[in-house]
Amino acid sequence: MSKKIFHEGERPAREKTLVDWWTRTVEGPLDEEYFAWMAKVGLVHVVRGVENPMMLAMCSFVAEFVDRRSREAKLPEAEPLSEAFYRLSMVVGAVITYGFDRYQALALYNVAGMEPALLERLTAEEARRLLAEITRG
Amino acid sequence: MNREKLREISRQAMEDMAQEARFRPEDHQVLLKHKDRLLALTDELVKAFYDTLFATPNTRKVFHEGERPEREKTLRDWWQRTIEGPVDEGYWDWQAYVGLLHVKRVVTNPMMLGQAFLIENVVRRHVNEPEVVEALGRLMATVAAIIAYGYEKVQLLSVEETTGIGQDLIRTNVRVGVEKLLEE
Repeated sequence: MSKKIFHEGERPAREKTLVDWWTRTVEGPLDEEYFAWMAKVGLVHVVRGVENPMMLAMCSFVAEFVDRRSREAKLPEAEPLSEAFYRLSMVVGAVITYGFDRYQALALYNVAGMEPALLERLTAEEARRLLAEITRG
Repeated sequence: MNREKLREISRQAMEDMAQEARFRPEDHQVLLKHKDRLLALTDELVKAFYDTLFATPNTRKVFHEGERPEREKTLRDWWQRTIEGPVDEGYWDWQAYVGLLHVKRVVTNPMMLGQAFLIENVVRRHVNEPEVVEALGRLMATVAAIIAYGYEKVQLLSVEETTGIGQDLIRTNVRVGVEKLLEE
């Protein structure tokens, strides 16, 4: 499914983006600017049609990769390193997911003329309606 | 509208996940192999889960007064069913249902993702075999993906219901709108 996202010949450019992200993530600083950058990734994902499940899968993949490789290399601090990476990948996943949800809401405001607060209420109401139907069904 | 919507959410979310990160049947065999140790963590897991939710102002706000025992029971049931199985289509539909409950209670995706991390972390500290860490990692990534996707799906459904604009057109317009934001 995620293969459909890419244009022909795009892989080298995307690989470079991941290398840049990895370098900055390891070297830091992991400051407000870093997390604002991650929020912008959420925005890019909306444009490219990268769904949150695709992104969350890759977040989990990166953390698990670091965990496995640091165990295999028998790094003396493999455990705290893995824990730090699992935590970081979850925060990055949360920021990108939230960015995606918020930007989608903002764009819906432009499309449907709904204020984000109204959309939030309608969304909760829709969930209530669906749940009631499932319970009845 | 009925349970089909849950199936649609869980299926779509799982299909969107890269195969390497998606939960697979062998993962559940691993969880079953370590079932006793994993189930022995139930009390600690439930306590850590709700202690942190109640200690954090934004997540504390989600709960009504006196609700904690009921919520603890829900988590206990979820953990037991997750370990004991079956982790089948019905299980994933249930996770989509949990996603709808989150939207109704205004539990945001970052709140949910934080708790997914916590569950993995508590387990890792006690059961640190690579096969368990990997199986649980794929399980939590899949559960989180389904719940996160549910939020987006309900948001689109509510706009469709209110405006009568079809979801595909909404999606296209959203993309165009966000592209403009990106240019700014």
